[in-house]
Amino acid sequence: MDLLRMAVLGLGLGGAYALLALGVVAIYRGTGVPNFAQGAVGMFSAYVFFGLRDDGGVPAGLAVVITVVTASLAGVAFYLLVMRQLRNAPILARITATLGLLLVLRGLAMALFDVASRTPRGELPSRVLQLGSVALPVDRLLIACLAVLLGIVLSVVSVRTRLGLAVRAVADNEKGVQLVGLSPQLLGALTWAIGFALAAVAGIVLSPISGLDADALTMLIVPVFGAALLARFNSFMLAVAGGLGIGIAQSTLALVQDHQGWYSILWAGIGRSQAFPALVVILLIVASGRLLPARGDAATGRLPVAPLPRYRKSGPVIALAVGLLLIYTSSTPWLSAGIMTLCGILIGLSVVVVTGYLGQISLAQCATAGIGGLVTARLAAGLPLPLVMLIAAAVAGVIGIILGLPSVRVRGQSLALVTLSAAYICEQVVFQDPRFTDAEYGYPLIPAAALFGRQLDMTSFAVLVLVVVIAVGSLVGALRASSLGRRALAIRENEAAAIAAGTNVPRYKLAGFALASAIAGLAGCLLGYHALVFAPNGFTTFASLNIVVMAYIGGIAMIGGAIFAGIGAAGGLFAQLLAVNGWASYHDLIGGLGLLIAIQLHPNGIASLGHDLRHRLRSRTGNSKVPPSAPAEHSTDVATDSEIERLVR
Amino acid sequence: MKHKTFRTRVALATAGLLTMSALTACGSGAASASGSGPIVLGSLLTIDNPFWSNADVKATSEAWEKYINKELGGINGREVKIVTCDDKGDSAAGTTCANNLLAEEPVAFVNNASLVVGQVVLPQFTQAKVATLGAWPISQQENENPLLFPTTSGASGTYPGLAVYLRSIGIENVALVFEDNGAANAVAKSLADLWKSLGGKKSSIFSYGLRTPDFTPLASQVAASKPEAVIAGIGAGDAVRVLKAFKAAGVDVPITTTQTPAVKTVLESSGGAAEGVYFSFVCSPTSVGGKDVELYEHVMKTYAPDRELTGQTCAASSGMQYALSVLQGVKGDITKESVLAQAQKSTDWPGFMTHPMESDAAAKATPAIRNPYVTVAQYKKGEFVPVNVDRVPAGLKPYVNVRDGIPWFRGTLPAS
Repeated sequence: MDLLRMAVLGLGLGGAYALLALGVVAIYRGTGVPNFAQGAVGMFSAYVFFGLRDDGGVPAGLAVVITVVTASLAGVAFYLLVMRQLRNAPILARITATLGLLLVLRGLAMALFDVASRTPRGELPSRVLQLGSVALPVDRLLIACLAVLLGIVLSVVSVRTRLGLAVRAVADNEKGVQLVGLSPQLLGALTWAIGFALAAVAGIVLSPISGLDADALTMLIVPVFGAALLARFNSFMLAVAGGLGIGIAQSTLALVQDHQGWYSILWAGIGRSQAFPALVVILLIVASGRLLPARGDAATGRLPVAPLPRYRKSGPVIALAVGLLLIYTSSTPWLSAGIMTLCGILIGLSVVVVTGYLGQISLAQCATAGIGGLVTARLAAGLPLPLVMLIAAAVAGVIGIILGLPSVRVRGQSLALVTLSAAYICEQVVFQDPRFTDAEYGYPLIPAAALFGRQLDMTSFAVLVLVVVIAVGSLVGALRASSLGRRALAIRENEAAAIAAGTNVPRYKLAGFALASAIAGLAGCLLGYHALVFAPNGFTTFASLNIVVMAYIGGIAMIGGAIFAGIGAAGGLFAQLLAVNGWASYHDLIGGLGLLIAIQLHPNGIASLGHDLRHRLRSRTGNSKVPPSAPAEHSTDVATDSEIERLVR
Repeated sequence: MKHKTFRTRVALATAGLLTMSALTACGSGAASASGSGPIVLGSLLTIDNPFWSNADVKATSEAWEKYINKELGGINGREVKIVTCDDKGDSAAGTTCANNLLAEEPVAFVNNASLVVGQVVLPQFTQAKVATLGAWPISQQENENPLLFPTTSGASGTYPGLAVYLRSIGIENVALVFEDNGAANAVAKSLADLWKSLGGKKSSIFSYGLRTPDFTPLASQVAASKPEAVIAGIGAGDAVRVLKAFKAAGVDVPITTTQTPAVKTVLESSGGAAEGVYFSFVCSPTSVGGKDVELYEHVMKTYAPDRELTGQTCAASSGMQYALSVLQGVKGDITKESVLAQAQKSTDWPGFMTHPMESDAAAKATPAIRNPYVTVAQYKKGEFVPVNVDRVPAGLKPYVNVRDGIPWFRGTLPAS
């Protein structure tokens, strides 16, 4: 009876997931892009609706129409201005663009509206329906029914109408659709308009029960993607069923929450019910291999350039000199921001290795940094600093191998979803559970860093971190230039060709994940020593997404990209610059807009500007060995292609 | 050769540019505090956060700053300047804030109320040896920090006080509803232990996800456990939805929570679900009355006229009043060292709309909390009505202090 009661009550939760999942599936079916900003669009639309109704005095019906139309137009604009330009870009670029939209909408909401969470008055009736012993508010039931209804309508439209078939056709073969006289632009715009309109409807009906703030719906992406995955990002009705199923399962999980004992570690304890949808995502993708259908992949797309690092000998020396100068001339706040930046560069370097060089999209690099921080918190009191750094890196490396295991079966956006889910589990479970943190009350403290028996002040610690970052940066640069790096790029470019060339692809992938995670773990260790405490909210899923976004703006396959990621990292130099000028509230907005602009102007990353400039200068002086960073389609860069050819031979 | 020259030029230009940027960026450090300049007080607050906004605390501190400067002529002829930083509840932003505040060379911090103080900031403040006067401690790190001098119990007292109140009216079976994270779970567990030590028969812990879109399943679980009362750890952001869910699920037993959600936006938009709910307050103008309340209302109405008077503004006012008394008590130069020394001497303080601070009232586990007491009031027809306990059970007497007819509850026993 309890099971039935909790299952029925899960309908409200499931309805919320299902409504948002419908929009995700609609956009994916049409353009092949998993829209990470679906919840953010719903959130922003809800602000618009309740602003019109409550502050503007607009009648609710009219406010709904205005909000949905506005959201649709925003969808069209986003498609035409951003996504259309990226139609031939690699999937990572398209995912990153939706992350940029998420940041912009979140930043705009924080800048324009009251950020305190509130519960607006809903339009759906809120009386309670007594179903036997179950008291179910009617609005929950109506939301579930609305999700089912919309699922049916969308299914019928997609299968029975010419429009629906055309949208599917353009996703499968854009050139073919053009040949039969249809406009791919128009159909793409329509897809995004429908997706955004569905998000708006979800935002309007969900906010009265989920609360309204900048994060409320935005951060539901993991369970929503879980529902979409159950539908293979393809079937509307399965997405609804998936959403309702996850909601019901999550609700019934509460019945076993208080079970004690080692055997219950998976389902009983802190964060387990929240992490459940993430577990569903991982299991679904890994169990069924490459689950997502390839949509909109008519062109495979050009991957970001991965040029050979220049100044491999003089670069570290210059970096050390400049770094020392900055360290010894900076005031404490800037010095602290500098240390955060250096640690951010380390995490950025880990992204460069695993995603830039190896082509495996990992959205969990901050989570592995958190593992390093956690290990540091547990060991720092009894072991010397160098040993703690080594162990933290090693443990994070092992976790990296586990994280990388799914990459043997899946890649691209499927892997992105797996790693995102893993990061979510780390955030909700591992970093919160006292069984892992060893801190029953409060947060685990970390003693100040000491070397050779001498406690390091902030300046000395900054020098240590600088040296570590330069060493790791040199290692990553050398890796790119080595045969290992060339093989990694070959895997990124074409796994089949790499296998044909005799490369053990699974081993390289796991090694890449292990190395990247070890680097991130080292960053987490140093962050812990800097903060003198293990602070779990520095290693959230959102922080992971932010680092990838920043690395992409900088150039995800270049050391420069990692430097950019570090500067833009939470608490880094960019944050400090904004803070001292009173613009701290605009961090997300500026970052998101910067990304959307940079991804159009410099799809290879801002760091590639230096390459282009150098090439142009050399062209003028008649010394043109280095190719420009925007070569023809389907190539990483000319040098890399030739390297791959050599490997294949 | 030409190639090398180009590289060298690029390297030199880059180094030059970076150096110039560094010097430009770092050149504008804070002017160091001098004996004749303003007395700087730092305040670290979580403001732009969906779940816990301390905008009222900022407004209150600034109102008292104006009052001190305009009506009292400053302290020892020096103006008081409060520098606030909003960490948004983010640990990285907290570190940035802490460093920027320390760069202002404050003589003390005042009314710190932040989600990340205990996580990342306190070690820095402790290393800098700057005292915190008045604060809203929420973590164990704060409760035991020797440089922290809060005038109230903060989160550490508000929940235990509710448990003692519920036991004092004979409740045996309580449901503890808290967020699903490590810190909240620790509070729930310590409450369960306290409930047991107070002689309560049963306590059940229920947890909810931070971003849960629906509280109905949680409320149904609570109702199914048939508790005699509920202690709910909820913020202002969640309160309306949680209280509505309790009402829909038929939880018709006393529901208790802290002063945090006792604000107009929650009470008015709860659709009657807040009616009858009990709130614990660390500071109680309606219970205390007298000159303190007159001064409080004068300062707030004069210098922050748009602010609703809430538990936050009351507690923050007591923090400012304590800071004022410590600063006025300093003999000689007002520096961080002299302020810390004076605070260490001023651990007994009569209170300001609060229970007094008493150094021997601190519990062993929470040495910084010298005033662990709260009052409890029920929300009835738009007003908070202080509760009355007719007869305190013998076993609970050490936990209840009746002053001027108002019972004050504490959840810990003094170390002594």
